[in-house]
Amino acid sequence: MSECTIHRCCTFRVGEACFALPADGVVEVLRGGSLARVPRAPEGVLGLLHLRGRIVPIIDPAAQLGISRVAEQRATHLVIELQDDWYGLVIDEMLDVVEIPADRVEQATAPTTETSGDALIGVFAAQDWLVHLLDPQRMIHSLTRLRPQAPERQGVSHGRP
Amino acid sequence: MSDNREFIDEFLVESSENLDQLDKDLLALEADPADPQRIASVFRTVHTIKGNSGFFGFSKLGALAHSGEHLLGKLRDGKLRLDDRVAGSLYSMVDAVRTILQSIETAGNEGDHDYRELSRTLAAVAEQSQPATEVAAEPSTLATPVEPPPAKPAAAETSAFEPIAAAAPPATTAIAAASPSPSPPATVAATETTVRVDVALLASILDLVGELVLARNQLRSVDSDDLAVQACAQRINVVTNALQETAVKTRLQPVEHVFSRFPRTVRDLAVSCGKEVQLVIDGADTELDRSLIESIRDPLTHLIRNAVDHGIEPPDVRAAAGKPRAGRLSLRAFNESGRVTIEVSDDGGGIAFEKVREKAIARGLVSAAEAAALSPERVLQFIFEPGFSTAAQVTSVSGRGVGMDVVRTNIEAIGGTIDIHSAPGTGTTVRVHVPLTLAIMPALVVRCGSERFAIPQSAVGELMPVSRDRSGPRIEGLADAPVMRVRGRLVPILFLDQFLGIRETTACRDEGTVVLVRVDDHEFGLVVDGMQSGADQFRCRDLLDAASLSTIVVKPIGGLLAGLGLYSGATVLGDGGVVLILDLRGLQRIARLPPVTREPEAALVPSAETADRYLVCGTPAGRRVAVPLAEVVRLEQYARDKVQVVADRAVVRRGEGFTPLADIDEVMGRPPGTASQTVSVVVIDGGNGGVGLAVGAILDVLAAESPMQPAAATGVSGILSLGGVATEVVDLRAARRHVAIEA
Repeated sequence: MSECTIHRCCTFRVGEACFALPADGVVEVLRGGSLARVPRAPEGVLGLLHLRGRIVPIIDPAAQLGISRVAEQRATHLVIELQDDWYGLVIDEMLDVVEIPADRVEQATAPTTETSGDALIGVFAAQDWLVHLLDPQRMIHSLTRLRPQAPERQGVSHGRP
Repeated sequence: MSDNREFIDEFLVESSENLDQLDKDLLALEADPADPQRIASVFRTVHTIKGNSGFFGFSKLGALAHSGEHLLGKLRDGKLRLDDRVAGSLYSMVDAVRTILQSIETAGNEGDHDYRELSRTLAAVAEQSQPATEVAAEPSTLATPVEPPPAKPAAAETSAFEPIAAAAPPATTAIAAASPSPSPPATVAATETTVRVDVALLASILDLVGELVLARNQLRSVDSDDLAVQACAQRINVVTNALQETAVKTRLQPVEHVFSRFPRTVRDLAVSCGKEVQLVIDGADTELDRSLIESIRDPLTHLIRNAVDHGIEPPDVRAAAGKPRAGRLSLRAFNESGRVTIEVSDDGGGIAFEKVREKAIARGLVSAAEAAALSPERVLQFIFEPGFSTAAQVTSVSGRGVGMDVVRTNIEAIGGTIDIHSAPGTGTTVRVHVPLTLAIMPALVVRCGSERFAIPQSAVGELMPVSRDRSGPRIEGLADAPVMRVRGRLVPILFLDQFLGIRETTACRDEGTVVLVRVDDHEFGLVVDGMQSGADQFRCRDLLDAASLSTIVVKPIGGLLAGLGLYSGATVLGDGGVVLILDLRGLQRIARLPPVTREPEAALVPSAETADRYLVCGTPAGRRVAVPLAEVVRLEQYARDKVQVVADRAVVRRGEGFTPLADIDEVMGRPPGTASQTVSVVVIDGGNGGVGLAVGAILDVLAAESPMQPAAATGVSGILSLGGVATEVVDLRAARRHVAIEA
């Protein structure tokens, strides 16, 4: 578990589970804002948000993390930076910034956690809850493999005589 | 070494600029070998490189520069004259230095190549015709200070990286600081009044200006009776506009950055091809977006290579043709209607149309009969066909066009266009038109359902209402292949709402607006609800001037969404809304729109009545036939497996009914040709569902050029000349009989 020595992480809550992302990749935390819809976007991409001159795709990580919940209309967005691009994650609650020693992170075994997907690096047992450490890059990239929301439609009748 | 990284980076940037200057100076020296100031400038540059490489411990570079400096010292002192051999060895040195610098930049070291041989050559050249005295090039007799002390504080004046430069080793060449500069005065001025700024910093300034514009717009919408607030808002408005304009200009760079390498390229090419070429550069100060400058470098280099290699004739041939021995290659850049045009033109032999024509026929791009009818301009277009000219013999016969398809692809990738003109014996001109910038562009903002989208205005041809009645253009055809008839052309149609899944079934079929767009050589119609301004009923082109045209700042949407291929970016409108920019090329590809070649506009506005116009088709068996356009109800395309055989008759299902299909070859008394995956169907009137003629391909819509000649063949009502080719006109009665609708 030493390939990523995690020092400071932002923890947040999605559904009932607690997750963590490296704090140095976090740009800011926003509340709400109106999203521009992206037709035929990959599942999980809720829309686009304008933030300080940038266009930020807003992503609902719930499905990917194996959590079923409906994102609120004016949810909290955790904006992270990844290879010069910004992404906003829809979260339920921002928790703390915590220091996590790398040697206390345990390899996650899929059945014991409620999360799925390969974005999970490991699990850290905090005082009274489990923190799931996420790899932001894998998380974003796994989205591109998901099927588009609206499948290509062909042959819909237009009803002209 | 890593501590030095910053210094090394600066050294690399400056050295690379100096090498460009070195190329220029050497070229000038070849023209006037006795110019002492040029020699001094070259000497200084090489000396600086030598000094810096010593400091950083780049021994190969140092040794090479030392040999070069030694040779240049001889030149400076008048002990040697600059002849071809000296110039050649100096060019080799410049190239080697460039190679080493590149290696330092990419790999962090000087690379494995051994330059000792080159050093020896330089030394040998220096010793050649050497008088008895072998004095090192020390005290100069020239008036100019040829060798400024290496660590001159000029560094701080010429560089924007002040804190670095102050502590820096002699990482400056001090060309500008040296008094009577050999360069044009403008260069001196430029160095003194410019600073280096990180591109990322400029980009973030531009982003912030965009933010300011938005805030300004919000401010304007605030109602206030307070005069002071109004006055203040007005001032902020004016300043914001000016600021935006200025910020945009920081993205522009003169094309000089690309052009500056070409004199050297042309010289080398001319030498290796045994040609004499005079390069004339004009408009090098024309400005272009920084991101585009690099994108045009390769295509232009290619065009120049072509011009020198294949365009300009050898001196003897030129002399025999009564031309000056030296060919003239002109490179011109200028602004033209909001775009930048770059013209590469030579006075060489021009392109041999006949050879291109033959090659096109040989490659099966066009039939011999069709080729004969094509205009020279059209024939030239074959040069841009992929793979047209990759074969070696094509280069020698067509005389031109190595990889022109790649050139065109690269230019089109940045939203540009390319055209070519050639006159046998007098030369060839290639014009490249590129947008000034990709970051900011005029766009048409359209509404579709609850969404808005931006379409780059450069791609928009015209706007047309979809009308229910017969007064205006109508959308025809069935589900899979709706088309629209626009002045005799059939243009494929894409319903944006349906395609993007905004609405289940399209609401635009009988109302809405068709935006006719062009992508490369093709055009299609995009059906949307209307324009942003809400003007649904419009007078075609008038609307393009209306409020729905906005200047948008293009922002990237990131790999996640760019990968969809539907959107090329996004923008923020004045009201703060985020709007996606449609990627028309991607839409066309993903929607699998049939490619309909856009014909030149001149050919589109015929006065001929529809009655005289014919739809020209190819049959599966390879014949060329025509159907009177007035008889055509619509065009459709079906997958082969949609064709059913019922009671010995081929039919396709269409809504509630069936359309019987007649194989065009069978109608005309021939065995049917090989079946393809998709069937193109020309539907003519007859019965309830019409009659479908299964043809091989829809080729064109053309006006008759001759009266119809009677013909006795089965299923042929006559023969006429269409597009210069004798074409059989299908007897539609025979076709209806074929499907047993007409007895």
